[in-house]
Amino acid sequence: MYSRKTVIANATGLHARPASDFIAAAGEFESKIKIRRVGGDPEEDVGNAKSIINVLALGLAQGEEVELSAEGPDEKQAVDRLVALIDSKFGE
Amino acid sequence: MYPIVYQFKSTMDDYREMTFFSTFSFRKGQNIAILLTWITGTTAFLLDLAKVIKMTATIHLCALMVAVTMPVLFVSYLTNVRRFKINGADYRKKTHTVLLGKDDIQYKESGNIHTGADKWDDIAYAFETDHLFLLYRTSNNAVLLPKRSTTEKQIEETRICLQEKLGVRFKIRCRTKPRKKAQTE
Repeated sequence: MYSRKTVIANATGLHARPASDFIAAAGEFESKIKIRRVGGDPEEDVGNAKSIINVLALGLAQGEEVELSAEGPDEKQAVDRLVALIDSKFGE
Repeated sequence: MYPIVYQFKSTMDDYREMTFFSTFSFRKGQNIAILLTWITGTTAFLLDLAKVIKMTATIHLCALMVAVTMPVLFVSYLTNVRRFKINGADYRKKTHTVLLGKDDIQYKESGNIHTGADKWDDIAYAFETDHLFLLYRTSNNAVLLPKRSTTEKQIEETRICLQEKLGVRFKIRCRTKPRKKAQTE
């Protein structure tokens, strides 16, 4: 299992369009990927990073810290790619 | 345009509007016919009671049934709202996420790890009212999307989406701004 933390940097947070880009990127990997709000409820503030409804339900806003964790054959590439995507502000 | 996302907490006003709509406002013409029938029936029943007119026992009974229909519907509406006010406190605290996608509609409720989805074909019909979009799976199972939780642009996108996905199964039951005017605002 590999995990990394990052901060949501884009102004609109992880809303519809960025979330679509995010799950499209997550779907390219075989590993199971989770996204969790740091400091949030351990059961409620965690979701499958490949499910758009789970990602959107987290309602992640600008400035919130998230942890991405993955388990599987390409876990490191998956987490690094998704962290890079969040850090790139989804092209905004 | 896709996905269109709604994130909201239900309020008493949402439930009140949905219940009122479900009880009274399916079709405008039908409602006018029911109202006219009720006025006629009630008037006939009262006139018969006051011995102004004379009706047979059967017609008197029919008039009585017509006269009580509207009050019974209204009491049923008030009872449902009251029941939701008492039993729905936990439900009203939950945040609902509804996603209108190209192929389906997805749902998630805070505090519940499970998600739900319906194909567009599974939606029987949908209505737009002054403050809500109502998506009915069956006649007594609806998903409500409050307009207050979103922007004018997204309301217009939702309208286009429902017209595209449901066609004649989507009906607008409120006044909408002309599209050109809405775009300029």
